[in-house]
Amino acid sequence: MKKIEAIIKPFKIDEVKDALSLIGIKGMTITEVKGFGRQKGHKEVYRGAEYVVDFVPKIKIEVVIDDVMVERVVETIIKSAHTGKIGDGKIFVYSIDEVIRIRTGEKGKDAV
Amino acid sequence: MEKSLKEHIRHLKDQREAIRNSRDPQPPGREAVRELSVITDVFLVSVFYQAERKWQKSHPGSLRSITLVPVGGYGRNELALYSDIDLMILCAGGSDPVAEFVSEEIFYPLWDAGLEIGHSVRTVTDCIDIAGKNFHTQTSFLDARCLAGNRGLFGEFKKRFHERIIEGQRKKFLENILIENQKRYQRYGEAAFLLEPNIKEGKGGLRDYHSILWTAKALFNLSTLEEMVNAALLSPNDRTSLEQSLDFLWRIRNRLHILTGRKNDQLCFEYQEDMAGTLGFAARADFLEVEGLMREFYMHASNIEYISSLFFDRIMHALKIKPHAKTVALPDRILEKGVSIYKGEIRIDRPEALIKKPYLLLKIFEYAARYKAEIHPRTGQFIRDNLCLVNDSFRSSRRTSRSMLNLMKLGSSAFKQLEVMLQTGLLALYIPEFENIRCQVQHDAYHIYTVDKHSLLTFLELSLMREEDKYPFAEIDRPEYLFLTALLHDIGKGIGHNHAEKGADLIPKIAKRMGLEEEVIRDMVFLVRHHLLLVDVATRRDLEDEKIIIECAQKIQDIKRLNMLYLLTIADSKATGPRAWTAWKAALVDELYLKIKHILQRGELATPQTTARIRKVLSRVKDGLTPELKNPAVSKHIENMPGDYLLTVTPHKIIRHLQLAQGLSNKKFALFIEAKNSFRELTVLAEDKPGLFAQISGVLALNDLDVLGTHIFTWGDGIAVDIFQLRELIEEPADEIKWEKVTDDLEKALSGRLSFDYRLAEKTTPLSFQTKKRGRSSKVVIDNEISDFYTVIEVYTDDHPGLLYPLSRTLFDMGLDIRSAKISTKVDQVVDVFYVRDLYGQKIYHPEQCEEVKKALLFKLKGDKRTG
Repeated sequence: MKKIEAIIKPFKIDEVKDALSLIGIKGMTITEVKGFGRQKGHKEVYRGAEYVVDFVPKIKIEVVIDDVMVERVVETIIKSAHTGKIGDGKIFVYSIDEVIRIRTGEKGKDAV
Repeated sequence: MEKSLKEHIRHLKDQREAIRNSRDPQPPGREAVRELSVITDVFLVSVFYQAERKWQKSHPGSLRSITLVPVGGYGRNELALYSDIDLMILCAGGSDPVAEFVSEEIFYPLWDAGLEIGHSVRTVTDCIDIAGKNFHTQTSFLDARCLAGNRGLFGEFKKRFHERIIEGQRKKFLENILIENQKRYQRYGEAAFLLEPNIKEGKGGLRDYHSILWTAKALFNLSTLEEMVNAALLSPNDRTSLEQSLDFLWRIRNRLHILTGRKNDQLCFEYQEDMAGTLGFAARADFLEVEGLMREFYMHASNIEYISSLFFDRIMHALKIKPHAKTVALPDRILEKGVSIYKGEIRIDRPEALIKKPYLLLKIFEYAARYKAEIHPRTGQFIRDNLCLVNDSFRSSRRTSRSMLNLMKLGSSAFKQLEVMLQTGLLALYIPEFENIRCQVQHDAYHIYTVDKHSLLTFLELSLMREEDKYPFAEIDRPEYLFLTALLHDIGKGIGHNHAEKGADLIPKIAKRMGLEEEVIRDMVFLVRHHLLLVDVATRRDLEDEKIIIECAQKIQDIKRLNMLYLLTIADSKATGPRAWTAWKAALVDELYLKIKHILQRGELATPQTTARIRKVLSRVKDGLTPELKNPAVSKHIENMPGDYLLTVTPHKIIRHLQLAQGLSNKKFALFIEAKNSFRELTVLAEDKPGLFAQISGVLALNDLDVLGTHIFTWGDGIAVDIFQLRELIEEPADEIKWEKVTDDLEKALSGRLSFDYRLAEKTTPLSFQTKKRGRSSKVVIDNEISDFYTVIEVYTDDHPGLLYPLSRTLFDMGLDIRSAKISTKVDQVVDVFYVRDLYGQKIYHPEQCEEVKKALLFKLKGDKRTG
């Protein structure tokens, strides 16, 4: 099992969510996050008042899936979150040791 | 023949089962809780006497020494199916063997029957001790009644409880009740409980009613609502409406217990849905059945809350307790004839004053907000008794309208009065459109307040923002209209989908009735219609896309409106719930706001005039399309045309460009030449890519074509339209041959088969330019403030042929993409303005990089002079 964590642009969330559910992903966790990578924060000057953007608002998506799905999920996220501009985000793939559904106690694949 | 204990229990169980299985869509409320109490009473009395007889058989001659006393909710005869059955066995002396025997006989079967029993065995002295220590026991003893056994003992308990606990401590009792209420409101007023209210403990829940009962009993020895009415602690109308609301609460509480199969007073989402169905709430097209149920619930809860607050106000007045000690005493004064401030309270002398001057109904609240004073309870009662005075002429009176607007100016002190106006119903009478949103619920986890409450809270949030001088509040002209709009922004909810549109449609009627000016009405309509715009765009659209920002700017059109919209947006979100306004969302909305503001300030693309012009150009282009241009691809091009393109290029030419674009499917580029009086105009269309502009400039330079001016545009769908005004440096060769060569060179250049640098170096500069004098130094200015989307590079230098190529080539080499450019020549001075972004679509922020670009460009300019 793997966890896919993707940081994407906020306005792309609907597209990514729809694309993922089209390939059969039933659940995901979404968090509003802020940060910066190569797309640095910047300073805008507005009528003399500085408006500093230290961290850029992003959305973090987390999905836990069976190994065989990894490639499709990653591809789907890339395709749907891509704008070609800086700040499109990143995808991280983690290995997961165990998944347990709290309600039933099911483990592994069944619990995903 | 006497029933056995088993039979009694079976009978009790059967009766409870019958209640559980009842499918009555309109089940009784009060009657049901009373009935269950009676059923329980009958069971207990039978079992009690059976046990007593049993005891007396084995202990002949023993006296009846114990009493069975229901307390708490059971004492009040208010049992829901799984309510605790609170029972106390009162006995004459400590460790009474009778008490022990009887309690076993009673409690064991009840436990076996699966009922929740709160039980205790106490002497009168025990009772007084514990009541003195524990306020909850105190209140539950107020509900105590005698069910069976020794009545004299119960009488003694009552008497001593009264003497020891109540007498002389009435004020203390009231204080405790108020503290308990406060604690309860705080605990059950948290977000989670607002969505999933607790029928018993929440604001407006059954506990509020119990507090009234306890207080009336402890302070005035009044046991029923009727007695309270007779003692003028409650108006007859309030009593009737209180009873109706209680009946509703009991009804859904019973249903909730049946549904969950346990003692549960919290209306969780899942149960709300189930209950709405079984209680016969019908869905409407625009309204879920569960929203119908919850709306009714909140109507009743707010009614109970209100009546309870009136009750306690009266009590405190009667006892001369000031709830809020004022730090600065308000001097007594006469406000107008018949209206005065006396001891910090606003009062009307006689109710007739209202009939003579109905406008006072609103004006009183304005006074209260202005002087931060309370309204005397009796005056409040006058107002509530005279609400029938609110008729059409009241609603359209300038005088009341002025009071309303004055109230709007008063910010947070007006908020409190608006709450009272909402509770009394005055607000919805004055603005009848408000009735639709009263207690209106949205069945989701996001909107935690009912719509009316949310509207008032939006008003409050806005007031707080003004108090902390949130930017740009200082720029708001007449804030009262913004406040009024905040109050009305969701007025379209509860009448179907798209509440913003629906609300905007209602505004003119309301505003005209209030006699507001046309201009104000237009702003209000705009704000209500677009109150979701900023959040929607900020969270769902690409803020790096200039076109999106320009579209917003065109919708909003002026900075005054933008400022109001921005403040309303924040207040609206904050008033929605703690999750609706986060630093994350604020960052996006702020960015959008500043970008729109910037566009509006530059005033080129989004003024009403330019918006109208763009619309006109678009419609003329669409009208002028030839049949072969009427296809989806062309519509897509048109949709994506940037504003500056539409404002600069004539409709006729735009159509020409669209025709050329048709050819791009099988060619790298398309071009055409037009002869003007003293120059030629070349238009090139091509798929945009970095370096395109430099390559075209190179081809022009190679062919001895001097660029007098240029406009380059990029359609949103990635097609570059580059227009050059050209002067031929050499008349030869003839036109057709020359343009054929240009086309051919361009073809080669775009396929990477042409190297400019060595070819240009080999060329000799045409004679006509060698005589020009030079000397003025060149200047490069890099500006990041003009645009939020591009870095603007301005190059000032002497004109000389072929200048454009080295400049654009340098920018390309430095990884900059030229999105638009304006070249203008004045005699021999040239100003080249480039709008650039880096290959990632960002402006160049880094000072080092800016410096590098500047130096590279200056070097090119010098170098060219040297060789020139």
